Amino acid sequence: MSSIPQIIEEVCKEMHFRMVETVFGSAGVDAAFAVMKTVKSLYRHVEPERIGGRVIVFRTVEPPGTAPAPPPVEAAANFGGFANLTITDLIVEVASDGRPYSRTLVDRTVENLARTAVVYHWQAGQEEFLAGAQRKAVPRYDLAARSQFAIPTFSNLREALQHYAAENVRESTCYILKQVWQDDNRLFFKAGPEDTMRQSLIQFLQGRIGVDHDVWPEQNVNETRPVDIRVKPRFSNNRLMLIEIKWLGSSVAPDGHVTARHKNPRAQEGADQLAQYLDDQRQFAPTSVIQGYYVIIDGRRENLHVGATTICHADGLYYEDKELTFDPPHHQIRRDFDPPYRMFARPICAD
Amino acid sequence: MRLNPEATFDCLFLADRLQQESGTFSAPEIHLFGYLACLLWLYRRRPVTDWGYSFVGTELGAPFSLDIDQTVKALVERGHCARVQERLRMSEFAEQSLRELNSLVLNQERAECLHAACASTAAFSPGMVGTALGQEPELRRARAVPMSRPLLEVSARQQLYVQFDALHHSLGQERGDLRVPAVVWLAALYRSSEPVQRR
Repeated sequence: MSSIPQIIEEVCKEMHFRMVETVFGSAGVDAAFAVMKTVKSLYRHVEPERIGGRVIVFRTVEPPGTAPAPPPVEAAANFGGFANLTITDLIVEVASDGRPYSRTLVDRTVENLARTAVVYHWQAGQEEFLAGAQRKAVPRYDLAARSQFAIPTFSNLREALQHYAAENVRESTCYILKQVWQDDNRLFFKAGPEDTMRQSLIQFLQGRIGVDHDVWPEQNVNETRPVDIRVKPRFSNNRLMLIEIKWLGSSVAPDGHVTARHKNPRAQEGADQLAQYLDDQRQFAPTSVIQGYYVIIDGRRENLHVGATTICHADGLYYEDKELTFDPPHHQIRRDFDPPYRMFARPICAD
Repeated sequence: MRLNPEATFDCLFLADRLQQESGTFSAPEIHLFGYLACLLWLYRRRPVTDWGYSFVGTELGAPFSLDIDQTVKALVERGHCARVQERLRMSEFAEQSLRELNSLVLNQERAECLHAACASTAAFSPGMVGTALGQEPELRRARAVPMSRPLLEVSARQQLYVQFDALHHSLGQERGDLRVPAVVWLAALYRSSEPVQRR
């Protein structure tokens, strides 16, 4: 294990500060901090994983003894307005007044820009600084983040949902989720288990990410279409995460009669609803970056007959690895829709 | 109650910068960045006694200053800061007070340290700064022995100076921009907190 002085030496070589200082002197360091601050501000409003192309943020460094260029006359860029735009390339100049201005590259390259500027360049999760003829990749300290300068809000929830599936749903270990089953062997859901499922997930998320996220139950996106759970980071940025929960399998009333059998079409119905929720919500919160998460509690059993009290291993786990297909596959055709989280809930098998 | 003048300036300065960053600030953030600024004061080879107030390490390994605590409470009670849910926001009067204090020559050296501490948020979130500083020798010791204890006493500063010497050596500059060693040091501390160090 390296000592801190050794790590300091390594970090010093990796980071861009020595490079910008060598190329542009102390003005280069100022420019680097101005660029970093702007990039951070940008990613507070725009989710890097939604950017299809590249991000370039630069600050021109005037030669020593030169008067700073006057600030541009046009209005500075308003990053808040970028929240839900489809962004391919984003080029921003940090002007002498420290404010960001949208630019186009025309026929210039980042290498050209770097001759007279400290340049930040992001593309497909890779980021680097350029100064003069040199370039340095940005070390990533938070590996969950798409950029060192972005807070990985969406991935926090993704990770939490994956833990929920493994820790709580698979064996119905959550004491709230246990209550959704009509029978001890977990073959049939009780009629109308949605509220209990939602309560279980809310409780889990509040425990897992509640320190810095608000987790709220069912909110009305509009009068007819409520979404199950809404998650919002408290301080850091403008992200809003909407969770829709559906279940698959069979539910029965206390007297044993089947009240619902939900299969693939039900899964598609939930996906379509969430896609619609997301569209509705954007109208109400245009400056928020909204991401949809679709949770499917999968309690399907093969050859399950009315009145059954036991099930064999082959039938009980038949659907465990059977992925659902969607048409249209919203998660593949839109950037604000995470791949569905199918969480298989195992029965207790007789063999 | 008479407030510590250095702590008052620091609280106003840090609150202003943190507020510029995220709209509001919290009392724990003031303690955290105040402590980082104090460490950068030591990096500049200035005596810790000249900082004007002291810190203790809490049982959780976080820095805490009684003077900062009293100042923040007083700022809220006097209406210089308002509560916004669980966070705080400065009033215009507080901003005006800061402008006046900022213009005083006697505050320039500590303003450099406070400025550099806050500039680290260009590279890291406050949460990451907290994680990184938790690896600083003094706070690491505080966490290992779960009881509040004074920080930066004579015997404890030696390890810190070894790290600062390494920073001076690696950056090849003694009097350069203080923001650079602040970020490099935090990055190194953060990396040392990772379970498996990358190559």
